[in-house]
Amino acid sequence: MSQETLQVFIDGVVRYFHHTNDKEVKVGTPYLVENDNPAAYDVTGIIGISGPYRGCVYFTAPRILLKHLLLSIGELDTSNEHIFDLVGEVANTISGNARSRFGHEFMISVPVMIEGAPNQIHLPRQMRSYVIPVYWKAYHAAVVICLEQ
Amino acid sequence: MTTGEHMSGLFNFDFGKYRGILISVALFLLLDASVLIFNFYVSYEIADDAVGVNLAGRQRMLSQRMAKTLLILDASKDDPVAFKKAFDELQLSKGLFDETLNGFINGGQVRGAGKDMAQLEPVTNRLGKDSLQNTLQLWLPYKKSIDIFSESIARGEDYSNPLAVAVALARTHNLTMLSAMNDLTVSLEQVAASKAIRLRGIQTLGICLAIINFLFIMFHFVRQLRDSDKVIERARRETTEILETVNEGLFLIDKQLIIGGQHSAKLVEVLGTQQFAGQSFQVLLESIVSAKDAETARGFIELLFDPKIKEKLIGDLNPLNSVEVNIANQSGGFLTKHLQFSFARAYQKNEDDVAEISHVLVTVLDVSEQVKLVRALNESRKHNESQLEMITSLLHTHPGLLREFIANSFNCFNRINNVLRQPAKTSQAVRDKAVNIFREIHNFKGEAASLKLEFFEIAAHKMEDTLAELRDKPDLTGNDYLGLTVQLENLISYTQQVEHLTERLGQFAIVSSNKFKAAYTPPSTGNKREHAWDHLQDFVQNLALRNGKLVKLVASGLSEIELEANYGQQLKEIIIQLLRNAVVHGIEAPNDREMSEKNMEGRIDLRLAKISTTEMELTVMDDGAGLDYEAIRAKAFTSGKWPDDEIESWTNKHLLGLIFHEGFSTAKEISKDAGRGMGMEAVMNHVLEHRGKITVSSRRGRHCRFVITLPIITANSNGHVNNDSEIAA
Repeated sequence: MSQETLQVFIDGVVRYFHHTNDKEVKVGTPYLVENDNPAAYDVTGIIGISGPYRGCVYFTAPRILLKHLLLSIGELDTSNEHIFDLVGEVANTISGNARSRFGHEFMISVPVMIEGAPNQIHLPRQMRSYVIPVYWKAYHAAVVICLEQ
Repeated sequence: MTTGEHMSGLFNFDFGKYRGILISVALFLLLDASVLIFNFYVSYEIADDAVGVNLAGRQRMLSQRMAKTLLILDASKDDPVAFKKAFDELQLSKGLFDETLNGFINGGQVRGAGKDMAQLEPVTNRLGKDSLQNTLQLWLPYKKSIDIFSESIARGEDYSNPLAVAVALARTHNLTMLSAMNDLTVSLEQVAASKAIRLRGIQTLGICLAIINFLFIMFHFVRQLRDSDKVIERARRETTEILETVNEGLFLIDKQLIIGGQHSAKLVEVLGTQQFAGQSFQVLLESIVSAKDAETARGFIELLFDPKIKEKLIGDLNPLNSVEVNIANQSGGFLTKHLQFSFARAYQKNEDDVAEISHVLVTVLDVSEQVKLVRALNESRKHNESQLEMITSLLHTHPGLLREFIANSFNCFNRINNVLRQPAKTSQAVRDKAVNIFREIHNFKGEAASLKLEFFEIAAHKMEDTLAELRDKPDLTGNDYLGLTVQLENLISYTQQVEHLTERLGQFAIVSSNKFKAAYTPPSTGNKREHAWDHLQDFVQNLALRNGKLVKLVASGLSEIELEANYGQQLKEIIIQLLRNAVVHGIEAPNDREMSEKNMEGRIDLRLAKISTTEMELTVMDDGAGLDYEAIRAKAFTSGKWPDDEIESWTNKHLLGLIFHEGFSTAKEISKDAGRGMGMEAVMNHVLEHRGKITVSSRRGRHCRFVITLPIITANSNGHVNNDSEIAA
C-alpha cells in the first residue's frame, strides 16, 4: 500500500480534530500490528473499503477522550449513544476525505460502531495493520488501516 | 395514445371469449326493455278501458235519469219551477246519453265525468257491439219523442201528447236500455280484465326468461372463468417453478430501468437480500458497482431500447460483462463478487401486430469462482516467477545461515517496530527514534551484505536514506515516519516470503536427502559454526571488489567459542562493522599501496581468542593507511558542533573518540558501505552494553588495530543478554 493512500486516512482524522475547538492534535509514529492481536481502545468506528484496495480503516479511542471531545464541542450529554455518534462522525469524516481524494474508484461503506477491537471479518488474521497513534490533549487514540491490494 | 385511437382501439377490440357473455347480457337487457315497453303500452290501454267502463256505467245511470225526469215532468205540469228543472235535466241527460252512445259506436270526443273531454274508441267486441246496436234501435225513437216534446215546449204549443208519447216510450224501453247498457259495461270490463291477464302472463314470461338468462350467464361463464383461471394458474405455477429453479438471476427492466414484478429466486442469493420489484436498476447498480460503471451501464441499456441499433453489434459494449460488485453488509464491510450481467431485448406485439422492444431481460450470473480461479492461476504464475527469482538470489547462501538471518531479521524488525510504537510526544523523542532505528537497520544491512543478500541490503540502504532525511528534517513529526513504516512493512512481507520459501526448500532438502542417503553420503564440510563465519570471506571480498581494493582476510578462532545466539549475533554485527571500516577506510587502493611500497593486496587479521574463562578478545587489524586524524579534525570543523578553537586543541586521543560519535563519518560520499557514521557508534553501544573495552591503536600509513574485550556469554551461562524489548524501550 502506498504512503499516499495511508496519508489520506490520517488526514481524515486530523481534519476532524481541526474542526473542534482544540485543534492541537499530534500524529505519532506509525507502526505495525499483526491482526491476530489488533490494536483498539474502548470504542471503535469502522469503515469498509473496497476497490483497488480492500479492507477496513477504523478510528479507535478511549471513552475518556471521547467524553472530553464531546464536552469540547459543546455537547454536555456524554452518554454512550453520543459517544458512539461521535466516533461515527470521525469515521464519516475519514470516509468523506477518502471519497473526495480517491473519487469513484473506491467504495466506502457507512461506518459501523463497536466496542473494542474489530473482529476477523474486518481484519484478516494473516495480515498486518498500520497503526497511526493520534495524541489529543493527554489522551491517545489511533487510526488503524488494514488494506490489501 | 389520443382519444381517437382509444376509441378505435375499443371498436377493434377482439371480443373473443367475451362475445358470449356480452350477447347474453344484451339479451337480458333487451328482454327487460321489451317487457317494460309492453307493460307501458298495456297499462295505457287498461287506463283507456277504465274510462270506457266508467262512461258505460254513466249511460246506465243516464237512461234511468231520463225515465225519471220524464215521469217528473208528467207529474209536475202545474208546477212550472219543478217542470223547468226537470226539463233542463232531461235535455242534459239526453245530450250526454246521445253523445256517449255515438262515441261508443263511432269513436270520438265525449264529455267525461268532470269537465274534461275523454277520447272514446269504437267498441269492437261482439257483446258490446250487439248491446249498442240494440240500444241504438230503441234510442232513436225514444230520442225523437223527446225532441218532439222539446220542440212543442219551445214553440209554446200543447205538449201533453208528445210528453205522453215520450213517457210511454220511457216506460217501454227503460229496462231494456238499462240491461243493454249493463251488457256494454260488462263487456268493456271483460276486455280490460283480459288485457290485465295478458299483461301478467307476459310479465311472468319475461321475468322467467330473464332468470333463465341470468342462470345461463352464471353457470356458463363462471365455469369458463374457472377454467381460464386454472390455465392461468398453471402457467403461473410453471413460471414460478422456472424462476425458482433457474440458476441465474433473471428479471425484466423497462425503459425507465424499473425492475419488473417477478424475478428468479437466485437473484436474491446473487445480489443479497433486497427488494427488487419496482426498484430502479440504476439505483441497484449504484449501490454495488462504482458510479462510473453504473452510468456506463445505463447508457448501454438505453441503446438496447433503441430499435434502430442492432443488438448483436453492441453486445461487446456491455460494461457489466464481468464486473466486480461490492455488496455492503450490515457489519460495515463489503462482500465482493464477480458477476456477469447479460442483456437481451424482449419483444411484444403491439396493436398493429408489429413486434416492439417492451423490456430488456437481464441475466445475472455469479462468476466469482471462475474469476477467482483465473486470478489464483495468474497469481501462482507470478508467485512462481518471483519465487524463482528469489531462489536464484538465495542459492549462494547456506540454508542454515539464511534461516539464522531470517530469524535475526524478524527480531530486528520487531525492535524497529517497537521503537515506532513507543509514544513520543516531544519532538526530541520523535527525532531520537530515527537514530535508534538507524542503528538497527544499519546492523541489519551489514549482515545482509555479509551474506550477499542484495535485495535486503538495498532495502535497508533505502531505509537508511529515509532515516537520514528524517534526521535532518526540521519540525520532525510522527507523521513523517509513515514512509519508513511502509518500507518496514514491505521488508517484513518480503522476508516472510523468503522464510516461506526456505521452509519449502528445507522440506525439499529433507526429502531428497532421505532419498539419497543410502547411496550417497555427502563429504563432510565441517559443522555449522564454521559455516557461520564462512560468509565473512565473501563479505570482505565483495566489499573490496565494490570499493576497488584487493584484500585478504585472515580469520582465526571464530568457531572456537560457543556463544549464546543473540550475543553471537551482536558479536557478528561488531565484526562486520569493523571489517567494513577496515576495507572502506583502512586498506588503500592497490595503486596507492604500490606507491607506498606495500603489497598491492591489503591484509586484515581477524582473531577471536579466549583470554580467560570469562573473557574473550576480538582483534581486527588492517595494514592500511591508519587513522587520518586530520581528516577527523576537518570533519569536526565542518560539522559545526564544536567551536573551532576547541577542535584545534584536541589531541589525537580525543579525535579518536569522535569516530564513535553518532553521525560522524569521514567518507566523502554516502554509499551502501560507508558514510553515515552510525556503524562505529553501534559498535560502541554493544561494547558498553556488555561492559566491554575498546582499544584502538594506529600508525599513520602502517596499520590500524581495534582490540575489543568482551565477556563470554554462552547459552547456559547466566550472563545478561539484552533482549529485544529492552532495546526497543
